[in-house]
Amino acid sequence: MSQTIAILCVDDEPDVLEVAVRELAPLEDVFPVETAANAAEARECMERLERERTALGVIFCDHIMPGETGVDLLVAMTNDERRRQTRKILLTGQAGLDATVKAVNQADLAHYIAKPWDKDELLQVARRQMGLYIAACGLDPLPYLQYLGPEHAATLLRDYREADR
Amino acid sequence: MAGGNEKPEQHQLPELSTEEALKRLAGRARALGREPEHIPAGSQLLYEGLINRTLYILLEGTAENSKSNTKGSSIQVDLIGPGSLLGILSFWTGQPAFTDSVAATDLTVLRLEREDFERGVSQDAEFTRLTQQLFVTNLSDRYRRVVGLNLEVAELTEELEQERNALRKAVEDLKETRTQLIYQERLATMGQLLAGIAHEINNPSASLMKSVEFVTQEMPALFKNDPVSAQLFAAGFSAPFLSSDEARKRLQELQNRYPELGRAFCRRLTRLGEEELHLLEPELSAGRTERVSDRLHVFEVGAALHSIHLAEERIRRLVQSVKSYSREENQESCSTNLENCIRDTLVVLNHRLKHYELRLKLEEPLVVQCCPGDINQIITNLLTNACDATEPGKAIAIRTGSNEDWVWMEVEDEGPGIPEELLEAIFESNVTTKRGGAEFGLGLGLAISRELAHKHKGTLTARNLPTGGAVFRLELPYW
Repeated sequence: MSQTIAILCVDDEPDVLEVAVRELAPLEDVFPVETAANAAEARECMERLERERTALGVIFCDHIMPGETGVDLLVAMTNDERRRQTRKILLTGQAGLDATVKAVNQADLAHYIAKPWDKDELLQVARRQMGLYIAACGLDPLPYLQYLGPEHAATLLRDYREADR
Repeated sequence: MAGGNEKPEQHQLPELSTEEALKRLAGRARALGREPEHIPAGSQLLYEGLINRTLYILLEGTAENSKSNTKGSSIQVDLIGPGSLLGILSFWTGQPAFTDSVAATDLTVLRLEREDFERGVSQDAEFTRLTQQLFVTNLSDRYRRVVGLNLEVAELTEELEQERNALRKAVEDLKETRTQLIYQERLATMGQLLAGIAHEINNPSASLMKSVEFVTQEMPALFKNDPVSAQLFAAGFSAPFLSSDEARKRLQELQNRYPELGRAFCRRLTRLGEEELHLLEPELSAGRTERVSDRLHVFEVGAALHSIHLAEERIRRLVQSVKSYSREENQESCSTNLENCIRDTLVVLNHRLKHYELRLKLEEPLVVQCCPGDINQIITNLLTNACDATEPGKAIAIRTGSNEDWVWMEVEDEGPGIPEELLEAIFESNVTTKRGGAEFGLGLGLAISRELAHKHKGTLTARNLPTGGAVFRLELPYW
């Protein structure tokens, strides 16, 4: 059985989470979507995923939330061996230049999505980043291929086979 | 201390009065063939810079000495009267005359040429003694004047320095006032912008509200022949938001119950109540997922409509707060409820305050006669300072209260507190404890806040807590 890889959405606004989950629904059967309302919940969620031996491929994270900020959470993940590979995406309307620079430099930010985002943007980004995660981890992309989008699938497969050879 | 200088000892002959000395000298001069001469007012006796061989002894009238300054204009340096010697320096040293001398009034002078003088000195002991006395008197007069002038110059310099300092201070005050005015103006402009934006948002927001109300009201009519959809729509509209934890548990439960449906499909069922789930049960059991999916869309539309409704309500509240925070009438004094000011400001500053645990303890109603705009500005300054000083996640407290004469408000933070030596200074312009690069660290906020408090005959003070953190206290009289 292939590795289960989850997507985590972190935002303090329940309706933002609701919309994000709805838009990521096409991926959910193979990449379970998890949600958290703040950084602390996100950490709990990551611990739980680890216990369940589920990998975390992509995190979509708001910046301004009660308690720890999104950027700080992402930086902490990058400094944690277990979460370094996770593709980190800021999903925010409020991260200023300083916070964003910090995220890019210290959290290896993979992508930045400004609220409000376009329809399908979330899904596109999730597909692409998940593909990159799978490639970075050296996983066989085959079981996930139909969910990663045709534009990425071919390259992923070719790269994997070349690396395998 | 008593006493003074000892009386000067008298030498040889007693000093004659200047008048007497002049009278006698005129007598001795006559013996040398020199009569007193009359010189009409306006005549020039000495020319600055020209050689002079004549000594004038002024017997009657007043002469004026003047000298050209470096810029070429003539400055009066001295007015001299009877007993004075004119041209003494040039006469004696042979150097050019140091000043111009002009008869200010009609004069009577004794004119002595070089040879007259030498003759007098060699032949006449009395002449020598009298001229000596005049010389000494003249020189000591001149010396006294020099000393007096030096004193005057020193005093003037000091006065000038004081005036210069006062001017410098005035210029600094003006600069500061100007900076404050610019800052105030900027705030006022931002207030107007804010009010303008609030107004602009208000109309689309109202239209949104009307449309949502209309759709909500008309939807059931679409389902009048379909009670299941009608119920699902209504349930969607009133479905609660689940916390991440609840959603996860519910999802797990549903996946266990319908293992064949898949996670994505079960996710769509999480917000459904048991009652709605029961409605769909027959079709779910029959595996008619497409049919169920259509039903779920109705539920989801209901939920989405509810989200629009909530979002719209939030926009409306925000617009309301922004409007009352920044409205024009705020600049006039009126009966103001302090709590409203605080709550409006909290909404406007929500983007910053949401990082903190906010502890509100508001006594109500606290109604004060004041300009709400000023009070909003004070609260805004105090709260942004508290945010700047406090680590996200810690607490900021706002308390209000009153006694017979005063209404007070305190803003307390869990920051590092204020260095004791700065507790007063922070209310001065350009004093800031914020590190460089703070977004708004002009050091004006507290200065302006205190000024606004004073304008309302109130006070604004700061103190530190023993547990760390600072408290700012605003006190306002009821009137």
